[in-house]
This record gives sequence, C-alpha cells and structure tokens, in this order.
Amino acid sequence: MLVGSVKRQLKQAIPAYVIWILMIILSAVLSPDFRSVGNISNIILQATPLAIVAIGQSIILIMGGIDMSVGSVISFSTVIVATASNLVGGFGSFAVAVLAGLLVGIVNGLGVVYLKIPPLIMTISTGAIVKGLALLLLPSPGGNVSESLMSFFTASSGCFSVAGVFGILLYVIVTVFMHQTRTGRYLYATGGNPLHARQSGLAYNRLTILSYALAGLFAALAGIILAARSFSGDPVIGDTYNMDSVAAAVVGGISLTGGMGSVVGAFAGSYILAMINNTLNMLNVFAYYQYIIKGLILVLALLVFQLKRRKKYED
Amino acid sequence: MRTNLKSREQFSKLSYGVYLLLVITLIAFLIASGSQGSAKGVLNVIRQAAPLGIVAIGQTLILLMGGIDLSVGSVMTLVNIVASSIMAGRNDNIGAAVVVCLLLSAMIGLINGLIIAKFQMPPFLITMAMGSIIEGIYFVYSKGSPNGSIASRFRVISDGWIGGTFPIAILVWLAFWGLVSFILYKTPYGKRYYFTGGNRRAAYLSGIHTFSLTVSAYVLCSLMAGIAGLMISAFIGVASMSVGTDYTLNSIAATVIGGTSFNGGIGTLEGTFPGVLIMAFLQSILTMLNISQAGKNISQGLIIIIMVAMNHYKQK
Repeated sequence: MLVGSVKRQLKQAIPAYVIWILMIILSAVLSPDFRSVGNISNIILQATPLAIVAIGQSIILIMGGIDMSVGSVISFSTVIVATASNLVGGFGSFAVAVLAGLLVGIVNGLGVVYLKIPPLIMTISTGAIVKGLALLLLPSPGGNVSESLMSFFTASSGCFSVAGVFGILLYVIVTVFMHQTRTGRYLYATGGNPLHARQSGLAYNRLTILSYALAGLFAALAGIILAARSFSGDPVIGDTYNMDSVAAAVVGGISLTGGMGSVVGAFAGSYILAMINNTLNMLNVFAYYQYIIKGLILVLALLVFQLKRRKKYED
Repeated sequence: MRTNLKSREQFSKLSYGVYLLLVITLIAFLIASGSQGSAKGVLNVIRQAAPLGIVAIGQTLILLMGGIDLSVGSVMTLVNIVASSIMAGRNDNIGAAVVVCLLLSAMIGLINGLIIAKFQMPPFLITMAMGSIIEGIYFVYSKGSPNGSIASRFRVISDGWIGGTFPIAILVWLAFWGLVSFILYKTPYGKRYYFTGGNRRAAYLSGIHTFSLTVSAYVLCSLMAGIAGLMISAFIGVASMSVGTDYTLNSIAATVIGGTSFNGGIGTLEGTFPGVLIMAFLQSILTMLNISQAGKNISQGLIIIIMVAMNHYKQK
C-alpha cells in the first residue's frame, strides 16, 4: 500500500498535465503572440502567486480540511509588505508577513482542533477577521513596497523571473515533503481516514495544526510576490484566490474528500487557470466574463473528477 | 418525531441566552447613540435589518437541512440590478420586475439544488461557484455601470411607515417569518428538514425523499434571498454593484447566533430572529463609531467563531 501509493497519487495529476500541454500546443499554433517571450514570462508571473497558494490549499485538502482564509491572508500580507517596508526594511517586512500568515494558519488549526469548529466555518471567519485587519491597516490600495524586495522577485532572464523559479522550487520541496517524509505520509493517512489515523496513534491534532500553518505560510508568500509584482498593497486583492486555489487543486486531481491527489497536479491546475485568463485577455473578452468562466470551470472540474472517483469506489 | 421535539426543547434553553444578548446589544446601542437614542431610532435599525432577516430565514432552512448557501449575497445584488433596470423608476413596471426577479432567484436555487442533490457535490463549493457566476452575469448585464432606479410606489415596502409610527418593512419581515415558521413547524414537509439534517441516511431509509427536499430547500433559500434583494432595492432606491456582498456572511452569522448548528438538524427560526437583530444593532454601533467596513468584517468573523464554539460546548 505504502510503496504503491506515491504512484497512485501522482497518477491523479495526469489529466491536468494532458489538458495543460494540449492548451500550450493549441495556443502556440493558433496565436503567434502567445509564443513571444514577453507573454510567456507574463503568464508565469500571473500564475506564480496562484500556484503558491494552491500548494497550501492542496496540503489542506489532502489532509481532509479546507482553507477559505487564504485570500484574506494574501491581501493582509500585501498590506503588511506595503506598510512595514519603511519601518523594518524590505526583508524585515517579508519576515513580518510570513509570521502573520503562519499565525493565522495556527489560529485556524487551533480552532478546528480544540474548538471543534468545522474547517469551512473557522476559516471563513478568520478570513473575515483578517480582511478587517487589512482594511484597518490600509483602507485603500497603495502603500510602498521596498525597492529591494521588488527588484529581487521581479529580476528575470528570458522567460524566468526569480518569483517563477521560487514557485517551482517550493513545489519541488513540498512534493518531496508530501511523498517522501513520514509527516507527509501521515497527512495522506489523516485525509484518507481520520478515524483510522487517530486509532493508529497519529498525532491528529498536531498534523492538522501543521497543515493549516503551512497553508497560511504559503498564502503569505503568495501575497508577498503579488505585492512585489504590483508594487503596492491592496486589502481586497486576495478575495478571488479562495475559490481559485480550490479550483486549481481540484483541476489538478486532488480529491475534496481528502487523502487523494498530489501537489504536483495543483501546479498544472494553476497554470491552466492562469492561461485561460491570459487567453481571454488576449482575445479581448470582456473582463467580467472571467467570473462566469471561473465558476463554470470549478463546477465542471468538480463534476468530472469527483464523479469519476465515486464510480471507482463503487466498483 | 421525538428527536425533533427534543432538539426544539434543547434549543429553547439556548434561546434565552440569545434574548439576553439581544438586550445587552440594545442597551449598548442606546448608550452609543446617546442623546439621539429614541424608539424611532431603534425601529429604524430594525427596519434596515428586514432584508437580512428575510435572507437569514432561507439560510436557517438550508443549515437545518445540513447544507450551506454562499450565493445569497450575489443573488441579492443580481435582483437589485435587474429590478432597477426593469422598473426604470416607473410604477407600471413593478409587477413585471417582481415576477422576473423572483423567477430568476428561484431558477438559481433550482440549479444549485439539482447539482448538489443529483451529483452529491459539496454545497459550499457549488454555491460559491454559483456566486461567482452570478457576479459575472450581473457585471456583464450592467456592463460595469448599473443604471435604472426603483419605482417610487415600490419603495414603500422598505421606506413606508404606517401612520408615521411603525415601519412596513418590519411587517413584511414578520409576515415571511410567520409563514416559514408555520411551514417548518406545522407541516410534515417542515418536519422533514429536521429529520434530513439530523441524519440524512436514516431519513432516506425511512422514506423521506431527500432529493426533492434538498432541491426545494435551495429554491426556497434563493427565493428568500430574491425577496431580500427586492427589500434592499426598495430601501436604497438605485442599482448598486456591491449591495449584497455583506449579506452572505451576515446571514450565516445571524443564523448561528440563534443556535443553529452547522451539522444540521438543530436550530429554530425564533432563534434566528434575535440573531438578525443582534447583528443589526452591532453593525449600527460600529457605523456610529466610524469603523464600519473593517469593523463589520472583524465582528462577523469573531461572532461566528464564538457562537459556533459556544453552541458546540452547550450541545455536548
């Protein structure tokens, strides 16, 4: 079971990669603009924050929870980076934002574990609180991101910026963590069957808190990159990331019921979403259609992936 | 039947706490309003709470049945925008606008319910995706700048006062509250909400058609959101892109203050009623203290966490 399981989890990501590669080939053939270095680096820059939040969301989903506070943590972290730069310097504000994200995650985990609040409700509530804090700190978009932080993350050669490489690096680390370390395996076990996991003596409480803390951490990192990219803080910029991160994970083949799928899939999932956005922009589709399309993609992905799984279980 | 009675009995204990909390918030509201505090001021806040009160009725039904609806805020905004553009300020168009809006919201509820019940999908994700789709639809429909306005005669339902002393909006709210309470407590259909929410599998096995119950619950909830959207439209009189945004979380907060459980099967409408009033007074206190938006968000989150944790410990 344990030996085969890595392969089985990675298999869930295959459809996402097939769709992604087809999309790349199709766009490259149909549109010469797509092939330009500028556009590709643009897609990478757009996809990276989403890809990073999706790591955290995937860990939580695999563990059997859900985190609806990531959007607010992203906003909060852009606000921190934009307001604290003058006080503690560029990388000082980086550290403050990361700590804030970790703290929100730990609070989420504690609430789920000790107050027994359902994860959805707990994280929606902390999300509202954190959004309120972001609005208190910076009522309207603006602020000042430190020059050093910005130039560090946006420095690029060819298609690849530091931010993009940083995102890929995080994926490599987390993939190894989830599939090759004991804690990662425990997270899968917890999501697969929480009762059995507890009965086999896994530290269920600690694992839960750890995964929410990681989700907070990755959301904060995504926020920092977003702030470095847009050079400002924005108390509502993260709002769409709650749904997008879940969509990226689901498109990437991660099951909502926990214990199945791989972070690797979420990478393709986030690039698929980012490329759809990019294509719509290039086709000059009215920006508001994106809300409709994103919602439809989430529903479709849920139907396709969840139904397929249900059938498999019944067999 | 017995579990149903038991849960209502159990709840009646909780409900005193809610009324105590309501009295405390009311006193805080009177202190905060200082010399301007009056019976009319209190009635005015209750009048403004009517849309929340109506949408919270729908949310309570959904939570009782064991689901959740995160699309109610978007439905309210959609109704607001569609109603303003159809009415365009003319009294002749009121009927058409109301019919179109209610049909629209019922249809949204039907789609939500069918997807959730037929494919057994997680309700919060489906309704959240639906919320996003609706948002896109009203952005596209209004091209980013909504126009039109609400007919003057229609505005009476939120703005009118009977004899200058009692707001019509409160009567509308009470009427819907009474109607749905009757359905929930006095009809076999209503009792099925408690059975299904308490144990869906057992309810299904004992012959309750849980599929149609789920679908009808989402339709009812969306209809309530649509009516609330009409109420808020009558209140503000114009089309606005963000009028419903706060209502999704507020309706959930008001419902859990009233003691409704997220696991389904526990809760009552007479708990939700004071829950709505508590949210309304709290938010007007925050507005008076001039920390409206940030304070609203923080209070929503804190209230939900505290109330859910408290309910959990009481039910243990």
